[in-house]
Amino acid sequence: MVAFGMGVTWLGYSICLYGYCLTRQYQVGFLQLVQPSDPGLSWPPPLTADQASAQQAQPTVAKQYLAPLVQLVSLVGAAVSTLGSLVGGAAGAAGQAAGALGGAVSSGTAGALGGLGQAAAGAGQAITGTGGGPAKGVGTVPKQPTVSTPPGWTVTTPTAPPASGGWTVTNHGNQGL
Amino acid sequence: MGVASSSQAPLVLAWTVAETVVIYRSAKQRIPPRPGQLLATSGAFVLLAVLSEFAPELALMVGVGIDIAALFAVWPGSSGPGTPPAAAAAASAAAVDLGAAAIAG
Repeated sequence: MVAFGMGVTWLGYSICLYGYCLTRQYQVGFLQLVQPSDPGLSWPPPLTADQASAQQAQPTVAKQYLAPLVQLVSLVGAAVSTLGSLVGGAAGAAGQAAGALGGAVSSGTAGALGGLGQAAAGAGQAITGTGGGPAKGVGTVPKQPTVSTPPGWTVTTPTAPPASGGWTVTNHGNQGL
Repeated sequence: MGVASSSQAPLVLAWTVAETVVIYRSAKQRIPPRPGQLLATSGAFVLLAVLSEFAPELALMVGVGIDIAALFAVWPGSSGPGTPPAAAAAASAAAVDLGAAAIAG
């Protein structure tokens, strides 16, 4: 009875291990497992040919689901940076319209919003790596300088920064200088 | 129905010890023990269990000897799965020399 139990225990363990190898698609046979000495058998055993090729062909689950997520975050980052730059440009235009009344304040707001666009673009870059690359150019709005205009002076600002990147200050009345 | 008679209980304990030694040496290397490693121990104790029906003391004595051999890693399969056969043979020869020196001394 005891001998029978010992044999059944060994056989049960052998079958369990062989079933485990089958489920993991290891390329090992039952006789190879139960051989007393097989120096050529390493653990884990090599995979079957079709399983190895399938693992090489298919990306891992992380890559499979992470790549679209990275692209989505990249798109969201680019959209946020574009929106931030647009809001910054609008606020800059509003600051121009305000003129002498709230020029400094609105310019500061425009600069802050432009900075927000830059920050959003930077966040998009930081999150998505290379995906946020184009968003940096869209969200780059130069901070508008604070200009106090004397009476008779008007300040004209382009809606988009010119290639030279400067502002045009025109003295129409030649007053004050 | 008893699983083992009182005369066979020490033999079952000796079998458990021998299997534990083999399994521990494999688990230490994070490798499941192959059934081939356990075959020698299991086969020997199956024969000892049959023998214990007629001569329980002799079977127990041999079983304890197998335990000692497994502890000294000279029993087949007890030297670990990653041990090359040459190293196992060298360990076995060293153990034999040690035993001979102890007997002579």
